[in-house]
Amino acid sequence: MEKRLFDNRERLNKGSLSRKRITAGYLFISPILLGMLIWLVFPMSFSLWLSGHEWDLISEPSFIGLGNFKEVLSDELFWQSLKVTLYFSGVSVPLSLITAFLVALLLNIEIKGRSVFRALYYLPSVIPVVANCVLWVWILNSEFGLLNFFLSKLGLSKVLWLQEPKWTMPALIIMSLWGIGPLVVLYLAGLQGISRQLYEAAEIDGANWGNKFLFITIPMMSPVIFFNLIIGLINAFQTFTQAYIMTQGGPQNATLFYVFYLYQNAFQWMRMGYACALAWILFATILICTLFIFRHFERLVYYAGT
Amino acid sequence: MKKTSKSILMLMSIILGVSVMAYAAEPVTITFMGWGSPLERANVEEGVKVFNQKHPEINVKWIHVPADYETKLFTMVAGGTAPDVFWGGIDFYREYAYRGLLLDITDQVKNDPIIGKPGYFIEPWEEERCAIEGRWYGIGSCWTLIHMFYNKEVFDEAGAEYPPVDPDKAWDWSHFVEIAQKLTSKADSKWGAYIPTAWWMPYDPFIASNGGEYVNKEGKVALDEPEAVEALQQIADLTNKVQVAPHAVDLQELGLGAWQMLATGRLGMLVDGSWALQDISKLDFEFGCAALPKFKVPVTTMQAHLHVIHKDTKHPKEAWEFLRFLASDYYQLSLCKVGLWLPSHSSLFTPEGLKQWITPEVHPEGYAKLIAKYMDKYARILYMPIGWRKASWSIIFPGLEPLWLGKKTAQECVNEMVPKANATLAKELKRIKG
Repeated sequence: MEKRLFDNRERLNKGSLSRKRITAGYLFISPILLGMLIWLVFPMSFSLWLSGHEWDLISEPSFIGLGNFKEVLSDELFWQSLKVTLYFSGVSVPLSLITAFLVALLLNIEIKGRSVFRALYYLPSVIPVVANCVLWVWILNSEFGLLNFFLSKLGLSKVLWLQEPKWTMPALIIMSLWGIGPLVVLYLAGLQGISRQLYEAAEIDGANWGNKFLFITIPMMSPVIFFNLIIGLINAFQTFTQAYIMTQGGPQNATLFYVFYLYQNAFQWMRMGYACALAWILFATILICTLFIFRHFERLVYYAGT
Repeated sequence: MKKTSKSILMLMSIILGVSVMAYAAEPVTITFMGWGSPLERANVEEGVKVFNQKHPEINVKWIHVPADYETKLFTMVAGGTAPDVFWGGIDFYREYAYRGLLLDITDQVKNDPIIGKPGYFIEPWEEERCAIEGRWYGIGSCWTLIHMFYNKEVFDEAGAEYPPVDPDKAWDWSHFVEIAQKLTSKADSKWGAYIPTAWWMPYDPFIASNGGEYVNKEGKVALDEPEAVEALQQIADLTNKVQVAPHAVDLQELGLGAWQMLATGRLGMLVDGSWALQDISKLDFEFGCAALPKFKVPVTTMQAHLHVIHKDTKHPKEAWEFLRFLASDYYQLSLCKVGLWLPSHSSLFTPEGLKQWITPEVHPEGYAKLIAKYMDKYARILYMPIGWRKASWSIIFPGLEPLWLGKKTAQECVNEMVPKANATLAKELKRIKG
């Protein structure tokens, strides 16, 4: 307290010294500021500028105003990629949220070897994405793959997971469940943060297992669920590796993810300007979705502290 | 004290002198970029070494890009560090040239004492692939073409005659199907024939053989012409109707490439690129190469990458010197010998020339005759218009997938796909030429 008063007085009376301090302060934060300017602000402004241009990376960019954004409207592949991405996000995000929650509940039960199970469920998240994709190409193989092996044990016929357009997306969604490790960890942390007193109080009032789950666990966990929903959605919108490694957007453009289409435009078809426009449209889409979710779902979230 | 400072001065001047001398003798460095299998890479590196030894004033640095070649190239161009000499995919060549990425080398080519001699290259092919409105922006270093590979044992077992090497005696399609039926045994999962359908090249010759065109002279996709539709349908029928060919999916699923299937006797005939000879000849089985079956006329399709120079290279003279070297007999010979490439120079098809690259362990009987006759009379090159790559991978290939899977007829597929493909091509052309 004493110190702070002194500092304030110093700031009021001795402008020069405080300017020195301000300079020092800025110097201290300069690495991160510079990093942001060079690696974030500059590329983003450049890409915004480019989105109004036609640029093949070879000749000078030529200004076309809103041309790229107008073109998007009539670009069938753009709509296809948007559809694919929304389909994937719309199904895989809620599914991952629910599955991860159930797994976290199971892993929260005090049983023998609990830490082993926890490690096992987290394990896939340690594997690099590319290795994961290669592994799944084999799991999804229709002749020798594990998945079809189990299906055949159940008496079901084989599915051409990666060759038939209608099955490719379900295959990738099943695969996305493989990566729920980080969600589970967050849920577990949340579950352990719920005070036992709440459950005890409820028990005294005669609450059964279902009541406790519905009226204590879910509300207390709602901030974590909400966080996972937002982050999951943002990540799902930017899905790229699966399309790049496993399907190349096929079959018949059934897995033409938005970011993959963006990549194709930028680096395979020499349309960097168009790709930049696509990037900004994606940015806007994610922003709108996130805002929408905040608007309509945040009131369902219970923040214990506030 | 004085002595020391004097000797220091001496030493410094020596260092200075030596470094100035070193700088003066410093060779000009040019970069050379391309893709290619480990074997091609080894060949390139060997070639670069030989060139560097011959030309102490030039130092060629090779950059190998095994995957995502264009991504790397475009990024380098945008960043101002484009390679001086590089491989240009034939499907991008026109686009590169129109966008001003390539140096016009017409005068150098025409005035060169060796390369410029009439008949140095196998014509009209070299002119057709290199010249854009009469100007050259690149030179090829090889050819590849589509022909047939067959497993002799499978034929012997079925008591069938071998397919002919001579394109003039090429089997009619119906005869080809008949033989394929003879070789097929579903019980043993043995297939008669296979024509890969994942990309354009293996089926292009058949469209042309039936009198159709993949892309017509105006640069439009013409797969909806009746001749092309018929050929496409016939190829798909091999799998879906006559059932003498495996599905592409089946091959993938078996974890076997078509080459392994051929070598293990599970496939009788394979239509594939001549480059496959390099791998097939290493597999342990009796095989032969033959002319493709024909609908109306014998045809094959040729293509290969080109070597090009970046327009803004700081060392155009040295880059040209190196490009010349890449267009020499020496450079293509070693990969021709192992079966990966076919020569693009007439001199290598003379009796003495053939001796330089035909290798008995690699090239089966009659191979030279097959290739020579194809190049002489029955070859074609697909004209790839601007926007080709985009139209192919995002519209044409996906659009034909239902045909190969037997879900739609050729007519249905092309009705839907061709207008879209042509709209894309027109749009891309307009973007570049205004």
